[in-house]
Amino acid sequence: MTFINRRQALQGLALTGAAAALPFPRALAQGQDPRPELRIAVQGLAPTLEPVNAISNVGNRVTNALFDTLIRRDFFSNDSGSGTELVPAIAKSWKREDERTVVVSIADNVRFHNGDAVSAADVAYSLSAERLWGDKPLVPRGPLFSAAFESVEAIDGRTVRFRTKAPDFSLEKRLASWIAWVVPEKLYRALGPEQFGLKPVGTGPYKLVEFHPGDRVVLEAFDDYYLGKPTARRITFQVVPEVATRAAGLISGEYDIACALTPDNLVQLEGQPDVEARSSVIENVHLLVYQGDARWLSDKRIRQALNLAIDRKLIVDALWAGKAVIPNGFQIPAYGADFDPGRPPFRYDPEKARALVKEAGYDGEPISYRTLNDYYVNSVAAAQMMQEMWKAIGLNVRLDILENWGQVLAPGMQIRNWSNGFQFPDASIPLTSDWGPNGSPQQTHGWKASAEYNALAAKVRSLAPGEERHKLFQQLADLWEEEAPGAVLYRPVEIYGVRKTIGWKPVSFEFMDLRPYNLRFA
Amino acid sequence: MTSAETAAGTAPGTVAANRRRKRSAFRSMPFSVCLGACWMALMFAAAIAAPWLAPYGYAEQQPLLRLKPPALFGYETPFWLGSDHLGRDVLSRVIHAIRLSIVIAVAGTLIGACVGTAVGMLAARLRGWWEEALMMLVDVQASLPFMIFALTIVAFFGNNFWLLVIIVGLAGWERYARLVRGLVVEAETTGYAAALRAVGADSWRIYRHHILRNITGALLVQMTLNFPETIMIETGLSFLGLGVQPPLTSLGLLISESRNYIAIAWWIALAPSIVAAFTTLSVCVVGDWLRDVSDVRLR
Repeated sequence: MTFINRRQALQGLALTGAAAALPFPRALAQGQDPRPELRIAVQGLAPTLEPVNAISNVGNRVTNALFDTLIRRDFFSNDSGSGTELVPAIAKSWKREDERTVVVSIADNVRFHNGDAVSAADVAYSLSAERLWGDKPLVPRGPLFSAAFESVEAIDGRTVRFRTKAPDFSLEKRLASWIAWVVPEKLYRALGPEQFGLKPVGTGPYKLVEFHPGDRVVLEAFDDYYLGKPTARRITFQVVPEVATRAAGLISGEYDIACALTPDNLVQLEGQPDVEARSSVIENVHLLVYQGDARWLSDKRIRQALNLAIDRKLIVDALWAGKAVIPNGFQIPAYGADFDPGRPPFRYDPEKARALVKEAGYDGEPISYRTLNDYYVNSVAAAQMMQEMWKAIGLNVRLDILENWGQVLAPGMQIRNWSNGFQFPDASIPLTSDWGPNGSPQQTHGWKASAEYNALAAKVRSLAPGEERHKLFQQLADLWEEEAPGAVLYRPVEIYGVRKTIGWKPVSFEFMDLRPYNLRFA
Repeated sequence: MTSAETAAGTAPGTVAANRRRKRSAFRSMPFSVCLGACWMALMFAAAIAAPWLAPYGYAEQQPLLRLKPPALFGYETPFWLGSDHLGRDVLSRVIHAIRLSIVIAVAGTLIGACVGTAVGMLAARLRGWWEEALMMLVDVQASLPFMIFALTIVAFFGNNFWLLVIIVGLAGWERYARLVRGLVVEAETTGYAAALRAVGADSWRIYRHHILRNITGALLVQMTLNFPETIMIETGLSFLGLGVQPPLTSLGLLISESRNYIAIAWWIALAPSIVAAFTTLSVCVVGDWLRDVSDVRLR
């Protein structure tokens, strides 16, 4: 038997006390930062945080916290969070020199997370031919989102000149879009896009702590942020693929914000004391793309019939509780002067559709519709509704629910679903970009757009806003509807479940704005 | 089944005694087995009469009447078991799901039994090097987690209905093969096989007409034991989105579709889950009982 005397007992107590005191400084350090942690449940993450490679409806919300665009679009310049005013950011001012040239002055007070000040060279490199728009850019998707640049050059330490090949009056808006997230030149060159995508360094309000693709991203406040100290100490984006689990996690207090909820979750959140739904119709459209050189789909009449058979209102009323918006034509009000509020809506005419199917001599052979399982909110349910609508006009559409985009895009595709985010609010997007000569419908989906369509697209891209551009854009939208390379379904509503004590508003875009002016904790 | 012997009153082993024993076994069927058998009968009846029983078509949508609670629980809706997220009648979908799940399970079980029996017989007939090779295949299959195996096949070949039936069929073939090989090897040593051989019957004739008939009972029991597993595999694959594709419907797909609505429309998950659970349980209970009745060693 062992006895412990008083001295030993005291020694033991002292040791225990010392051990307990050891981790104390760390706790104290954490205690000194009273800012709360924000936990966000998301439906997915991009496999990279390289800001252009990550462009997607799951990537943008994270990269927007890590990076700043050269110019900033102030979504809160109107009450609904869909403002289009451009305000200084990394660029403290900009000046249009002529129809092809914009000169930007870089602010002195913006720093990267590694402490380096942003220079004109960093900005010029971020939008350089080498990285984005040359023959073999480091970021292969760069050209799709870039302007037709002739040159991007740093004139001196604080000034950059952007020059396009043809007149481009939307260049300033583009410099406030997702192509213009600024990266540090030296570090980016040293790491290359792939490594940089795993260890990104930007100027945004939050810097990276951990990135586990497919699982979570952890960010931490960047206190030297040029718009002031961020209001959260830490932000975690946690992947929770099932929508029911995201909603349940929000209600149970595991998460503070749950993204990509469906209107069905609204019922669930109603009557909860601590959480509420906040939503915004975003500048995005859910779409169908038809493989223009595939069997049956190469016949314009079949494509038109597919479009005429879709009862969009029924889908929106049933699946979106009437909250998604059916656009009148391929346009959004944020286009400003080029938007035509009087443009007739997409037609729903099953009789005409049935006649077209008959005329095309369709023999009942199944047409494949490929989709992932709810990558887009409500996409499978909408597909099943359309499948019945198409059946009613005599088209036998088979639903193929696949595992990854590789399978969706593999040979044999006939119909797929897609979405177009409006990179910036301008009539040139997406009809002259995603659907233009360099977009995937013309490049890989076999759409042989008429010469007239592509000529009109080029004109719309280069004209100054005004009557002429308005008219030509509307013609372009008419032609798109006539050639029917795809179908516009609706503008989805992005629904977030949010803890009531958090002062945060959604914007009319697929990213979240977590900058200090839009994130408060009660 | 000790009661069988006392009831028979004759020397065990004779044909008459066996018949009597079996008849009496059926008479003294436990209540749970009775219940299981009734449930199975109900499921098979539903599968056969699905188009007449279901009040709506399985793909028939009334989108504006979606997520309506079940009339069975006193709600005023046109759907006995409620409607799903596209306004489809849950009852009709469950009935059609039973049909498809059972068709797949039956077809799968038959495929498994045929393949397994063929392999087992071949191994028993050829012996030596061939037997080693075939039994090694059996061991390989037995050591693989079947779900992973199934997922790999679907990933390679894409999913279609017939592939699904074949995959489900491949579940458990190795058990039939082992069983049949053992039974055939044992039967070869019995007097009747030797007698047949002595009168000049060739091996295949003996296998087809005599041994196969003698081992049918054991095979049937194995099939009932395997059947729930085939249902679970179909259900599992469909739940993962790799089995039956919409708008067709199966129990697994129904459960999978319901999981996003479980907090606001519990009734979509309820019926298919209950049906899947009861059906597998019933077949298990009945299969176990059949094994007990037919196993000489348990008497």
